[in-house]
Amino acid sequence: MSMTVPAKKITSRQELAELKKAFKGHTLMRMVSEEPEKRREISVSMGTCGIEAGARDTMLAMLDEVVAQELDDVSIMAVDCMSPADDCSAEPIVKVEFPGEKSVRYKNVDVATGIEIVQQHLAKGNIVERAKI
Amino acid sequence: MSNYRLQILICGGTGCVSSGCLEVEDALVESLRKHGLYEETKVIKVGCFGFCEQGPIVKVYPDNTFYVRVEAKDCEEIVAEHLLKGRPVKRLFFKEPSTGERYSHHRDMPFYETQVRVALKLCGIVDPENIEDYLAVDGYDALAKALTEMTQMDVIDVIKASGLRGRGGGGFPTGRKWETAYNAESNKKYVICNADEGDPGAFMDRSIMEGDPHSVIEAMALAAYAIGADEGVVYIRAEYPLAVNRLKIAIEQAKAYGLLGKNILGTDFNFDIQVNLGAGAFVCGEETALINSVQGERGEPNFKPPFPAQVGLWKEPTVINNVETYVNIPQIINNGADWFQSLGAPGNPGTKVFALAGKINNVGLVEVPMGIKISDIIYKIGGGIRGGKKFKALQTGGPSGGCISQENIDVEVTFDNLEKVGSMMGSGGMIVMDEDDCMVDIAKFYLDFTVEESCGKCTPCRIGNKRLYETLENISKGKGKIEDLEELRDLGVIIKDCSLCGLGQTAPNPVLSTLNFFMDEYRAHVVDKKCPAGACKDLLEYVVIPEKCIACTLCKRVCPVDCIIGEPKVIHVIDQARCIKCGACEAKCPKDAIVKQ
Ligand SMILES: Cc1cc2nc3c(=O)[nH]c(=O)nc-3n(C[C@H](O)[C@H](O)[C@H](O)COP(=O)(O)O)c2cc1C
Ligand code: SF4
Ligand code: SF4
Ligand code: SF4
Repeated sequence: MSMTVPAKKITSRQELAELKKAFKGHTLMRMVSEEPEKRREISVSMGTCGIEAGARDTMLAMLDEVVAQELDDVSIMAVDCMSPADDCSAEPIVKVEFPGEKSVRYKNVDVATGIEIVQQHLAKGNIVERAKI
Repeated sequence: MSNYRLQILICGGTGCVSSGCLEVEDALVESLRKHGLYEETKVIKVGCFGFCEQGPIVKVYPDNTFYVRVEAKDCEEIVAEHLLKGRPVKRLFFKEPSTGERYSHHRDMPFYETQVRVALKLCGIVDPENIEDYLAVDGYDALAKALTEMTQMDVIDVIKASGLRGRGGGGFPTGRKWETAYNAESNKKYVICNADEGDPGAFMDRSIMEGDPHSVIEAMALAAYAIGADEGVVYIRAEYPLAVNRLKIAIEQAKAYGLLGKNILGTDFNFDIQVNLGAGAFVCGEETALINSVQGERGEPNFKPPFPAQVGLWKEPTVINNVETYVNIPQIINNGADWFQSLGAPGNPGTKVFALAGKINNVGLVEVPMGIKISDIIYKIGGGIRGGKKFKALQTGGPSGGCISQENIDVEVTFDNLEKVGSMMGSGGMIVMDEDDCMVDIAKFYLDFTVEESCGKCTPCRIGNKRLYETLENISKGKGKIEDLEELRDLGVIIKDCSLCGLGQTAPNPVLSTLNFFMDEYRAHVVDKKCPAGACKDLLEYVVIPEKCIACTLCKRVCPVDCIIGEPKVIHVIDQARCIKCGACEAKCPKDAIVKQ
């Protein structure tokens, strides 16, 4: 298992705190998953049609944005195809769910829209109306 | 920075390595590559998930799916269906034996539901071979806090207020031990981690070191800071190669980050740890014997007092604590004494890890709050007695402990309560016995172990325990006399009173506790020459129940010594004088007409 060899030893509590921030992404997903009742979920439709429409790139971009925004209660999952039968035109479909609230679905979520959803909906609570289903 | 979309955790504890987790890892990586998922997936070998019997266990994040008994051939399906398309592989979910229900998430499983994880919090979550994982989850925060905000006495006061008691068996208050060492005048002091884990049924210390070695290191640094030590020793048995290896990797990484060594975090605190391999004698887990062994002398105990906190390693004040005791400490510093007090029972705060084994449905490592009822451990977590048999006893405390019977099954597990019912906490072995286990045989089994492990320094332990063993052996062979039972008890008490160290002082416990709670069974052996559980071979008789026998001659034909008398239409009889008790006839009889009694 690779470890980043530190350029120099940590010499203060401050340095330790900064370094830890950089590693948060390592374990975030695992720690968030341990407490399902507090977790906000992003589900990305990953059926064959979703993958063809670019769902994997969308998912990875959203994931990086979640870490960049330091959202430590969000998990991103691949789920089975969410499209209605025979109609794949809305893929990639993304669902955002907050505990105890009604979920919001988005259609044709490309990388840019995915990032916007994280920045607006998850970080600030503003639904991205233009992509909403 | 790139982040992984998926993380797959494979249990890489000793238990799962032996059930094939390495092959599973290879197969997973191969399938991930094939499906182009390798770059976005992180595969990590972590420490024990506790549910060893169901291993190898594979956990998939972010959904937190829990797969059991995964084999290499299952990996392609996991990758192609679950990881790629989001369809979990249901056939690999755990199936509860008593209800048949399947669980996708470990937290819903009865085995985990009642557990509270403090000592094992990070086991199975962080990558034990990568300090970055530990740093990402509050790692070394407690040390940083102590070094920058707290005086030595502040640290000791928090540990004292938390009420933490030693998990190595004695239950001694940790904060008080640290205070004694702090108050001892000397400019050289040591801290030792006791990772000898000599109880044959226990493996929690091993699992902690394999799964979360940095918590142990951080805790030792905290102890060193508190008492004013600058050197630490981990005494670990050489039979734990994986734990030794992970610990050494962790120490190297901590040094690279400057979390061990000189001027830690820019303060004037210096601390280094060395690893000392023990040869695995049970008595070397006793603290004074352990210190002798580290000094290169014979691993024999010394008389106490003085205690190691006053006169320890190289005659200097030394704090020695158990692995599980240590891992609680960073969390106590981070979360406060009140948090720790809020877990567990009055006077016995926190949790305890037990190694649950024996005739029970779910075996493995379980961590429960102190004060939980024995019956909850057996029936809720353990899923009840295997094969629907009847519970007979719970053996706790390993070779130094005793057997707890049905009448005490609702006792709340604390250091004090277990002693009250004639057993002890020990290091946390818990072996469930059912109606087929003979209590004389069990007592004999443990005594055999202690006789073997006695260092021989003092007579009551060396000779006395041997006598106890011989008497038990006679009883199990049907040669016991009723006076033997009184003698067992008298001799046991003398050995307890006159032995130098904890080994001798506790060795008679398995005998005394079974005498107390299962006197009827001992009597049956000496008076009726019968073993009610049918375990002592010499006391068994195979007999034909005449009412059931249809005289088919099958038994007669399988008997290797030709001692069954009978012919077609004549009810068969076994000649006891010649029977060698092989059981072949019982297995063969189509009418269950042959029974052992
Ligand atoms: C025969 C014998 C064996 C022992 N074996 C162990 C052991 O394997 N691990 C351990 O931590 N403590 C063991 N102990 C207890 C230690 O002597 C000591 O009390 C303990 O390490 C103190 O740490 P704690 O206060 O954190 O429990 C043993 C004691 C006796 C008498
Ligand atoms: S009690 Fe037994 S193990 Fe302990 S010092 Fe005496 S002989 Fe050795
Ligand atoms: S096998 Fe059973 S039924 Fe047949 S003769 Fe023997 S005891 Fe009787
Ligand atoms: S137990 Fe074995 S030796 Fe005895 S009667 Fe049955 S078959 Fe023969």
